[in-house]
Amino acid sequence: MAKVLIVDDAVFMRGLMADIVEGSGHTPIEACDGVEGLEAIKRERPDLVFLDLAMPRLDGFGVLEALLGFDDPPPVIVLSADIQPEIQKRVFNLGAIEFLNKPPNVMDIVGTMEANISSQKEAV
Amino acid sequence: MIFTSDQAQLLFKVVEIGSKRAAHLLRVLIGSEVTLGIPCLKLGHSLSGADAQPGTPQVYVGDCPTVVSMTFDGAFGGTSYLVFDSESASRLGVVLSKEDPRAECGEDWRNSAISEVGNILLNSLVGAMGNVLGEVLSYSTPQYCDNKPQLNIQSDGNVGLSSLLAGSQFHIEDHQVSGAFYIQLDSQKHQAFFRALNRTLIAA
Repeated sequence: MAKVLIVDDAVFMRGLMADIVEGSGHTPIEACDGVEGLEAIKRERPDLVFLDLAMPRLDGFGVLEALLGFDDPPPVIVLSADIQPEIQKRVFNLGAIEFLNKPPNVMDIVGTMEANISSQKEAV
Repeated sequence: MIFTSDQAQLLFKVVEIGSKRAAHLLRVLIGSEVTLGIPCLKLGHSLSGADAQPGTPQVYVGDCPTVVSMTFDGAFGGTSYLVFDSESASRLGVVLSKEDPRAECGEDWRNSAISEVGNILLNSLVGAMGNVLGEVLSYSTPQYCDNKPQLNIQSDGNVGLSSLLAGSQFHIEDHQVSGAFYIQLDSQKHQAFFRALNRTLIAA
């Protein structure tokens, strides 16, 4: 069982994602913006992070930039409604391992989540 | 400012691409068919696009509209809107609540859910425009507004003289939900928008 952090300002989206994470046998943790997200990463040390981009206080780009300064940052999958290719390039340059578009497709979310949790376990 | 026929056709196409994508995502979200209206294009008080496409529908306003708005900025900018009448917004809230066990949290949950639907649909609409015209745009977070219409649309469906408005209406028959999404361009950046249209036309 892995700890999966969901950082999104929309309670509706956090609910959908938490359901998917729980349904896959993992433990969802939630944060409602980038500031809370970074605090949760330090406190909970999640195995994986789903990160929204457009959020108040600190957006997803800010979170990714802050994580560049971490010794052992968790893998981050960006989950965003933004469909611009340039934005995808930017988040990959900032260290995101995957970019998925909203609304979340259950198969894509579970497949990406499991692949990354498994590869982390193999690395350990 | 008048569109050339080529510019109007390209803008119709851009709105159509974004609207179809938005309607598809809405269909995915709620699991019901979404019927899309003919794209609407307005410049000031004249239906500038109507010459190219007779029968362009009136701008949808409805009574007591619920609006999710999201501004965008870049080489050109403006505001995008997802608009429902209040009954449609309530019915959509009920449909969305079936997807999330936390829906009993009430009105705050419903407003958040509709805002997120707006976020997804408006990103699709504006993103398609930016992608086709080759411009990277930045977005605000979506703003939910209930019963306080902020649209610069008059009660007769006309927009202000300097406004360019493009969008489409949609209807979800299964749930009797009607709404519309629109892009309203910042008049101060119209020239940049027309330059982007012309650049795309030349490249094509």
